[in-house]
Amino acid sequence: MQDPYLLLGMSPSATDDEIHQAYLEGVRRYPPDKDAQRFQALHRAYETIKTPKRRLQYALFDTELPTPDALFERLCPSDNRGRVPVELFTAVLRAGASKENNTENEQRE
Amino acid sequence: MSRKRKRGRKRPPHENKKHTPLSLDALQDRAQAELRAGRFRTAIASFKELLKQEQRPAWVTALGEAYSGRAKGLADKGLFKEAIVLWENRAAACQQPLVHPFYFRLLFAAGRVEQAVALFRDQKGYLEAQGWLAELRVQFAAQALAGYTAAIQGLPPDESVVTDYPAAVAALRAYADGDDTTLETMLKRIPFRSPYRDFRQIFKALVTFDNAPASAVRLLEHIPPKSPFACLADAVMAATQSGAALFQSLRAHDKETCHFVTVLRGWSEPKQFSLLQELMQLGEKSAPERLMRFLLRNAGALGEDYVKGIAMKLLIPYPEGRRSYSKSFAELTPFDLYRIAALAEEHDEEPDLFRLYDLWMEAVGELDKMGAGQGTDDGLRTALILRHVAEECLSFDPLQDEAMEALERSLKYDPDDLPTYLRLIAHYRLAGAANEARRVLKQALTRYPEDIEILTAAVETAVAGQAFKKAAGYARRILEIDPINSKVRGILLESHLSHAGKQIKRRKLELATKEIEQAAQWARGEQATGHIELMRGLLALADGDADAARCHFDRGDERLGGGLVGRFYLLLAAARAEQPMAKILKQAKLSSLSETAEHASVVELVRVINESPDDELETLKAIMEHFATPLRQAVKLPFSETESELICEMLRRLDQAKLRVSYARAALKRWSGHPVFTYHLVDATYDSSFEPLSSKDRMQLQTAYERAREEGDMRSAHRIGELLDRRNPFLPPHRLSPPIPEDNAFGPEFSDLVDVLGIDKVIELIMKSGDAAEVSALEKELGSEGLRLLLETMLRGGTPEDLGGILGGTEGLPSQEGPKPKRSAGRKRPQNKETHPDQFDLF
Repeated sequence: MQDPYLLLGMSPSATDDEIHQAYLEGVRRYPPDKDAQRFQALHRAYETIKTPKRRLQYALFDTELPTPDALFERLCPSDNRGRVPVELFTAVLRAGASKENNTENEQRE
Repeated sequence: MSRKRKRGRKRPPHENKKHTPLSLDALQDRAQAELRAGRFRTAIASFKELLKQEQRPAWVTALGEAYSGRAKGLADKGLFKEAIVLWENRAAACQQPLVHPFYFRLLFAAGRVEQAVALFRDQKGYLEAQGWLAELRVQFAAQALAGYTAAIQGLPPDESVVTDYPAAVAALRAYADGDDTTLETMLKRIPFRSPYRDFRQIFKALVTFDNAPASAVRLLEHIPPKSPFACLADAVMAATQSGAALFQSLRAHDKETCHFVTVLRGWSEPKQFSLLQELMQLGEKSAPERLMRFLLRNAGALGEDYVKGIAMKLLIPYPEGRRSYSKSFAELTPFDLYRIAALAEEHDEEPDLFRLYDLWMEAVGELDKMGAGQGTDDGLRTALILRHVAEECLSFDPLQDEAMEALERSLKYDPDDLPTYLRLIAHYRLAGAANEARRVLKQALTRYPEDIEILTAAVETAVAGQAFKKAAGYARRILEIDPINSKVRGILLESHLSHAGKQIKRRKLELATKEIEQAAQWARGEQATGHIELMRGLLALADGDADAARCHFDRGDERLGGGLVGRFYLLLAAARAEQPMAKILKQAKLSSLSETAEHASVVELVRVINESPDDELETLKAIMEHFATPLRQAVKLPFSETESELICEMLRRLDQAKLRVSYARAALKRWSGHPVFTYHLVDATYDSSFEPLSSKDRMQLQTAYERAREEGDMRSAHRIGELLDRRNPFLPPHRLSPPIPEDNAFGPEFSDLVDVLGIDKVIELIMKSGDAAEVSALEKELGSEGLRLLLETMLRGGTPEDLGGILGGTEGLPSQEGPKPKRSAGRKRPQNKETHPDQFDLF
């Protein structure tokens, strides 16, 4: 299971109400009809830490370590989209041109 | 031919040895072999050598292929200039055309754009004739957008690569500037057949990316993988992913693409990009020390509390991190040390439950010292740990009492835990500790007077103690809260009828009548009243009123569906009243059982029996004796595959080996070689005999085992494998899952056999067993005394070392294939277990 605090964007010192609000916000952003997997993960996370007793239980017995991507999400939680500058387009196209030969050969083989 | 060899010139491997010159045929064979094997450099040399001798067109073609392969190999390594030379040599030496899309790609990659433009202009007719023009135009378009404007400067001004270029560049700039209106206008100016078509599609995806990533993915899927723009499509596609998938995707891409993705996802700060790079290097399963370093370095950004929690978790697989942890946060408390040590023990492949229990109890002791009490966080921690310990130890017999004690104790710290009350009540009731069950029930009822689960537990406890009035009182309370609760009605009905049966047996007919009337109060529906009618019939028979009995039996039979099932329930009622079944059946004067052996009736009987609980198994076996004849007659009925399987399962459960053989055989006639029926046939044929499998049956089972695995029927594969292993201990084990802990190298069944038959008899059986070849081979190697000694050692639970001593090595012995033997359930508690935290192996 993914770290429930990471998923809900909460710290371990968050209150019941803060966790509930974060869950509702998550559900609004990822309703089950749009992203069922994410919704289920949010729901599981909420169920895991929704009360002080459950948070204590999680703190006492959970041994799962966060994956690098989960850590990155916590460090860089931006869901904004950025615009890629022209130079990056050209850089990707140039890098792609030098790899094309490999692709071509793989396809031939 | 002799010539001076130049110093430093590398010789092809075949020239290194002094040997007589090869014949043309031999040289040709070698050259072709080199070409086929992709050894293009030596193939070029060999074909050149051949062509010096004779100009055969096939050799010229082959030399061309070798050049081509070598050029591609060099291009793969990024040696584009060298690849160009090889390609040009190919054209010169083999009279093959120089112009080819591959050559253009080499020129672009080597930065010789002007040369490519000139070639395109000069050879346009040839390129068109070859059908390569459109493909090359897309390459020129990608080059132009990659910043090599020379790619369009020398081309005719009416070339679509040139005419559509301004719109493509304007669209790119408009996108980067966030000017979506201009972007849309510019994209519309790019015609459908333009060489910038893929580029336009990618921009359409980029526009929809913000709001509908799924639509963006669909648009990107239209970009051909061979397109020079595919790298851009891949980058956008990667950005649509999240979590682990995004990381996986980024790992497969170059630095430029990763940068592109991070910017597109809004992580445009250089620090974010470097974090991403660092985290990607950590890998899926990060090495704990690297993860610890990362966490501590980024504690500020990740949150102190968060990092502290994760760092502590890291100490479970990485106890060496304790110093870093203490330096960054604080010294671990004795409680934390015990907790981490306990969790590490839990994660051990073979946890020592005694040690685990002790460690958790030490942790609880530390919490007590810290003043844990009801209503405090430490009190709640204590309760949670005690429940966790109970959960871990419940399945381990020697710690059952400790588990119950832990559960009871947990309620002192956290009395508001309904599942704990229910667990304790059920445990005490099943263990026959009625007083304990009632004591906990009383506590639970005080706390949860209206809870259905607690009230149902109260009914069950009262029924178990035959306190029916009390049970009825609780049941009424349940039905006031939940009027349609059928479970509680069922419990009471069942218990009154069971009690009525006992009173009939004791000839206390008045009391039996009372019980039946009380049962009737709870009866709802045909089924329930049917059972009451059957009991009334038994009561009437006991009272000597055969006519009344028959009436009741008829009514009961009808309400319970008649047929075999009706008879089954009648026999079940008779068994509960401990009445002779055959006599009751005769007195009931229902139609003969063989007349009722119809397809639906058999299927319904099988369903009812398969759903009956195991605690009535002996009764069911006794009842089944009365169904042998109709079931034998029913073998010929056209049961479906599932029905046949359910019948075989029922017969296996009720030890009806002969009938099971008949049904399995009938099923195999229809579904030849079916693994499930093959298993039932062989298993039932050998039943409880100690005979080893015949080679025919073993082959049959082996085939069924393979087929079950192929068909993904792992349950059958497991059962067949287990049967093969049990009957043929010399064959390699058929294991689909971790093996059952074994007491000796042959498994628990053989250990039992040794106890029952004595070691000599068992050795005799093994030596006669089916796999004669294995036994003979061992006998040949060890001699008959040696073989006997080996078998005896294995049967007495010898270790691989013991066995190795006999064989002079331990290779191939059965005991080595499984994991180390687990401790047996009755193992004594270790005496010298040290549980002080500072002396743990961990720290």
